[in-house]
Order: sequence, then C-alpha cells, then structure tokens
Amino acid sequence: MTMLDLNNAILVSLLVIALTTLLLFVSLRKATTSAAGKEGIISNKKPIFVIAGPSNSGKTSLFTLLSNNKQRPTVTSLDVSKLENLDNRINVIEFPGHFKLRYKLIDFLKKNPKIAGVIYVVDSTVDPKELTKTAEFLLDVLLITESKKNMEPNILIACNKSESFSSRPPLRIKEALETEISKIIVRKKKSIGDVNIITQDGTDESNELEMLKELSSSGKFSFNLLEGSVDAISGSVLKKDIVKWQEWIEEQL
Amino acid sequence: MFEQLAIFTLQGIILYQYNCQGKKFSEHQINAFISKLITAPATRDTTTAGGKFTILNVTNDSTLSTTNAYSRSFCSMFYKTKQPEIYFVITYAEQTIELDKEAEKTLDLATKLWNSLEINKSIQENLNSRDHIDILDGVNDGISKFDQYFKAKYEESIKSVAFTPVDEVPGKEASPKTINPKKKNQAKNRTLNNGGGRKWGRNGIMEETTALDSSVLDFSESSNNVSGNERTIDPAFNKEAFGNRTIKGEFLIKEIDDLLSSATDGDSSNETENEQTYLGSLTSFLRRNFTGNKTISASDLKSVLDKLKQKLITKNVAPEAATFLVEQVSKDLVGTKTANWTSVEITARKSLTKALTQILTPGVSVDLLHEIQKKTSVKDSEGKKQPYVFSIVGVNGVGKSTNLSKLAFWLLQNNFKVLIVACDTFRSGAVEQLRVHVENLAQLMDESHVRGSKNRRGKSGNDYVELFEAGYGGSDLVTKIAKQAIKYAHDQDFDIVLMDTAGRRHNDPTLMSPLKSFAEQAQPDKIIMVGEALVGTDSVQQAKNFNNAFGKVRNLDFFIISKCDTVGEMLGTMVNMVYATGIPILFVGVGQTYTDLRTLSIKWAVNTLMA
Repeated sequence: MTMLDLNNAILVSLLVIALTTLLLFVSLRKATTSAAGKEGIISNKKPIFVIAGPSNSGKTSLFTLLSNNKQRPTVTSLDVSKLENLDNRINVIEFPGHFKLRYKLIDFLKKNPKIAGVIYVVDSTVDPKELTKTAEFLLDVLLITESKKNMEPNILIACNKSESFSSRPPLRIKEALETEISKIIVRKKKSIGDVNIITQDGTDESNELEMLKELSSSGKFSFNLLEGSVDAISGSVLKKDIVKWQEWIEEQL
Repeated sequence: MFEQLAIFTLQGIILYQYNCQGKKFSEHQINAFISKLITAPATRDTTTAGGKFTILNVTNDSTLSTTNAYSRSFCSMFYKTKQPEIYFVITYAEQTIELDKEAEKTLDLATKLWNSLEINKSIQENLNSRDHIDILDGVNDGISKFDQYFKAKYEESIKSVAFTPVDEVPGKEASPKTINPKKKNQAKNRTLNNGGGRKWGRNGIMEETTALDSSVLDFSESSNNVSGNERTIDPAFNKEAFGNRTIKGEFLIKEIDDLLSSATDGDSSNETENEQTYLGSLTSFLRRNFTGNKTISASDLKSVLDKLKQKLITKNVAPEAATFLVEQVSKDLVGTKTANWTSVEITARKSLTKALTQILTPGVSVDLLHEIQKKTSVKDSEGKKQPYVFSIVGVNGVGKSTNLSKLAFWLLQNNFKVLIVACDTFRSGAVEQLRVHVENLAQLMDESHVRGSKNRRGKSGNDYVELFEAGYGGSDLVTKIAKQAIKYAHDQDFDIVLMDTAGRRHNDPTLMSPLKSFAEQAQPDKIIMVGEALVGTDSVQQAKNFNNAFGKVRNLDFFIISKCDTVGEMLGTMVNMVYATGIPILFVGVGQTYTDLRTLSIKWAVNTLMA
C-alpha cells in the first residue's frame, strides 16, 4: 500500500512538473514545420505580397527569380511557395494557377486581412480575345480584395514574357481585361444563384452580388472603380527584366 | 522507348529533366500530366506497378484540357516521395506490358539512385530554410552525379535489352534492408580512401550488402570521389579498377551498381518517439489533446479518423469514398507536427475539410452562358447558327424532366430560344409530362399564351420554347429524333436544344449501351447526369457506369444533384459522385418550382458535411 501511495505521489508531482515545463516549453518554442504551416501562414508582421495568375504565366519563375535571382525550369505548381522576410522587409507567397487549386488562394485572401499587394502575372503573348479565363480569375480575386474594409490592396498586372515578339503592350491587356470583366459581370448577374442564399448560411454570397452591382454601376467595368489602384506593367522573367515590378513593390511599402 | 523523365517538387520546380530520345525536354507534357493528375477522379483506373509506382494514362480529352498545348495522349508512371514531396515521372507513348515493366525498372533505378545520393535531405533543408537559398543549393553535385549515373545506366539497360531478353536491375536484388541507422553512423568516420578494397567482378560480385560493405560502397557522403578530376586516386584501387574496365562508361556503371546495392529504400522518415515512461505518455497525451506541437503518428490518427469516417458515413458518404478521404488525411498528416495548442483531432478535421474541398472543386471553370454565346455567335453561310445541345441522362425517377425544365427556365430568362426534345420514347406519359412543362414555361414567358394551343409551326409551345416530339418507340427512334431535332433547331433558329432521355438502370448493359450511339449521333455539347441526393452508396456506381457509358472519347460533363432539400445535412451523394468520376457538380435542385435550381457552393457543402 505504501508503495502504491508513494508511486501515486510521484506520479502526481511528475504530472505537475511535466505540465509546467511543457507550458514553458511550448510558449517559448516557435512553431516550425507544423501541419498548419503548409497553408501559407506567415509568422512575421512584414507586408505580404501575393503572386497569382493563370497557369503557365510564369509565376513560379518570377518567384524563384525574386527569391534567389536564379532561373529554373518549372512545371505546373501543385502547392503554395512561400518566401518569408525577403530582404528583411517583405513576404512573398506564390499560389498555383490551376483552376482546381485556386481555392488555396481564395481561402488565403479571405483569411488574411493584411495584404500589401497582389502581383497578378499575365502571359502577354495570349491573344486579348482569349483572356476570358484570365479575367475570370482576376475578378474572383478582386471580389475578395475589394470587399475588405480599408485594406484594399493595390494590384499589379505583371505582363510577363515581353521578350516575345507576339507580346501585347500592357495598356492593351489592361483594356482587354476590363472588357472581359464587364462581360463576365453581366453573365454572373444572369447566372443561377448560389445555394448559399436559400440556406441563409453565409453573408459572402449576397456580398458578392452587391459587389458585382457596384462594379458595373456605370454599365461598364473599369479598374478605376476599384478602391485599390491597378497598374499594368510589362516585364520579362526570362530576360530577368523585372526592375519595374520591383519598383512597384517598393512603392507599396 | 520512353519519352521523358522528370523529377519535380510540389512547388513546380524541376529538379531533373531528361528526354530519353535526345530531343528538347518538353515541359508541356509534364504539365499535361500534372493537370491530369489533379483533375482525374480519385478512383482513376490506375494500376499500381510493384506496389510502389502508379500508372496514369494521360488521354487528350477535350473536356479537361482547355489551355493545354499538349494534345497527344501518352502514358506515364510516377512515384512521389514524402519529405520533401517530390514527384518522379516517366512518360512513354502507350501502355504495354513490356513498356510498363521497363518503366517500372527505370523509375526504380531513378528513385534508388536519387535516394542513395541523399539529395532529398539537402532539398528538404533548403525548403525549410528561411534564408531564401536556391532549392538546389548544395545539391548540384548530387544532381550532376545523378545525371551521369542515370544516363549511363539507362543507356546500358537499353543495350542489354537488345542483347538479352531479361534485363536485371542489380539494385533490385539487393534487399532494401533497414541498414540506414548503421550507415549513418559509419558515414561519419569514413574516409575517401576506403574504397581501396573493392574488387570489380565481371558479374556483380558485390552482392552481399553487409553494413560494412554498404558503407564502403556508398559514395553519397564522399561527394568528390567519383565524378570529375578531383577524384583522389588510391594506387591499389586504381590498378584493379583500371585493370578491369574497358571504357569509361562501363566503369561508371559498376560504380552505380554498387551505389544502388547499398541504397536503402527512401522513405525512412518514420520518427519513433521514446514514450515508454509515464512522463513520456503523459506529455504525448497532453500534446495530442491540448498543447499541440506533436509529431503525428499513424496510431494517433487512428481513433480520430475512425470517428471522422463514421461521421462521413452518417452523412451518406459511401464507405469507399469515406475511406479514401480519411486516407488522404492520413497521408497529409502522418509525420507532420500539430500547431501549437491544437489537438490532433482539430488538425485532422482541418485536413479533412481540405480534402473535401479539393475533391469537390471542379477541374475547369464552367461558364455555361459564355460557352453558349460562343457557339451560337458563329453563323454559317446561310446566316444560321448551330444550336447548343444539352442532353440529360440518369436513373429512373431522379428528376431528369423536372431539372431539364428548371434549366430551360433559366435559359429562357437569358433570352435564349429553347427547343425541348422528348427523347424518352419508352415510358408512357413521358412526352405528355414534357408537354405540361413546355406549356408552363410558355405561359411564364408570355402570359397571353393559351394552354394547349399550337404555335405558328404547329407545335406545342410558343416562340420562346417549343416541344419536339415523335411519339414512342425503340432505341433507334431515339437517335433519329435527336438528329432530326438538332436539324430542326438549326433551321428554325433555336439557340438551345434540351434533350430528355429515358431513365435507365445503370447496371443493365442492354439499357446503357444505346447511350453510346446516342452520344455519337447527337453529339451533344454537354451531357448532364441528374443524380438524386437520396440515393446513398449506390451513387458511386451510378456515376461510374453512366460516365463510362459514352465510350472512350466522351464523358459526362457535369452533374445536377436533385432533391437536395429532402436530405438535410446528408449531402454525401455529392461527394460520392465526384469521387467516382472527377466530374463537377454544376447545379443542385433544392425544391419543386422552376426557380429552385442553384449552383453548388463548395464551401456550403463542405461545411454541411463537416458540421
């Protein structure tokens, strides 16, 4: 009996010690490679820049160029790439462009109130008439960033691949995107509503409709209607010609 | 003959690329592979070769690849390592038994070489590092060595295929024993010169892989030993080595063989925690449930996952799909650490939410109005347009006609002229039922419409919507009606053709086989399957069978899940159908009236399922 009591006493004291040390241990220790770390959570408070855009526009190449001034052959990304504390000033996160993986970006934008800027990479060699998907994606992003109060990030339309002879001037691309977005808004307003509305589940959806109405109030969508500024600047990752984009990033700080 | 070998990370960086035919490496092909990989259904008909590698046939189906510049079909075999997550992909023209075998060997060779060179460790470090160093920092040596070895070995295997029917990859014979810990210890006190005791046998005498041998033969640590000019040459070593080799290539290959035979299987990242003591189990318990920061093991997850799986099943998710989903979670989490103050259960729930979102998210965006406008804006020489054709299929009584009318109502609201075609020539009353819908819709469009009256072409309906009917009959009548209807719609300037088909049991081949010829003859732009939310486990098979019914070149385009208002939270059918086919759900039916059609909100569905 005494042995057992002793054992119990030891156990209890051990428990107390273990608890206190654990608390200390945990509070001191920084989360390193946690499961949640994959989601693109950034631990520091530096401004966040998001690289987004359709597949095959050169996001990953831009990302590697920004991170270590290297050029690497790339394929379609399956996951998010993060760059924390670049030059001790900014964070850069690059999201996959494949349609199936876009929810990662959407979730991130919804969860993170503070985004300093969105670098939306566009393949400038694409025929402006074929920009529908690009515009669709951009509108999805805008609908989230614009619904944030007081924190509308500025957007850079980075017209990549300017080295190609078939690349279009940035202004032309910007205009084409505006036209496409106008058309998409019209279609979106005509589309069948989301199942959310009837279940009164989220306020998200009705918000989106409001936003759409707001954005097309003058009949045609224009980037000027947005709270944040939108700049279209050409550049080339292949030729390492991204100075203007870097300048844009500087301006946002 | 293979086409390409690529090794790349999840982040999209190519670590190694090789075109086996000496052409320029094409990223497009790999992109096509990746696109297929993420959009293919969970139950894609992949075969696993040797239990380790997965075969994926990348076919060029027009429905999935809208932006793909790569239009040729090919076969691929891939393997994915875990930490870091790296894909090894090999592509070849088509799937044959010999090529599969060859691919398996080559992939096996590549992964073994990669592992024995311990490139992954440095890459993982680079990935985790916060100093923005290049992902290939410090591994260039390893990769160039890999390149050299792989090419040599690959060329040798091609040659030997030409001479001998059975080509043995030496690495295979060496059993991948768990000699890793020993190897690590010995690696520390290894010197460059201990390669001196090697003998180069003609027929692979270095077969036994004792711990000592493996350390002797493992060159992964002594990086400068083999390649290039920096090699320190031991006289004894030299004599024997040079004595036996004839050309540089052969010499190299022997080294690779040795390297391979000493290689262990890559994924040895199982961290075993010493938690035998009271204190140990206590901290483990606390970490698991309260404080977080615990490395998750399979046993931690088991009870949690069982609970989640049961929950999914109560929500009408088929056991097959539920098992797949929790396996995804397990793959996602085992070996990772929970965040601070997060229990394993919360982490697992988060991961399951992610898996559900991933499975329900469509692979391509579907903007129906845009596609319709695009097609109908093209005029032929007579100034007429081709109508956009929908056909609707499904099991009996799931609500095909009802949802067709709902769809018609929405299209009418968007100022399209709609022709509704009664292709159900089998069930009595099917045509009459559609006529009632057409009358209703005509009245909704134009209040002055008199029910039962004929329009100026002598058909039921009015200028906006019309019924195309040809009575009842056999299955050959169906395709006849379909073709006539499309021609009629073209002549009469309709924008949309909506075809209702007869309900059919999905497991009856005699009923399902006419669908193929129907799809071939009518060439619908979109084939929609209506599935009811009530159905439960059978939905997996329903979706599969219907998706396969149209032959190899045609798939379903999307689902409408009907009767969602009748199941409450039990939305499992949605998961089942998408799980089985990888085809998106576009609309859900939520009531009896024409306006009760909604697009699916994935967030809503996932939240309901997880609630």
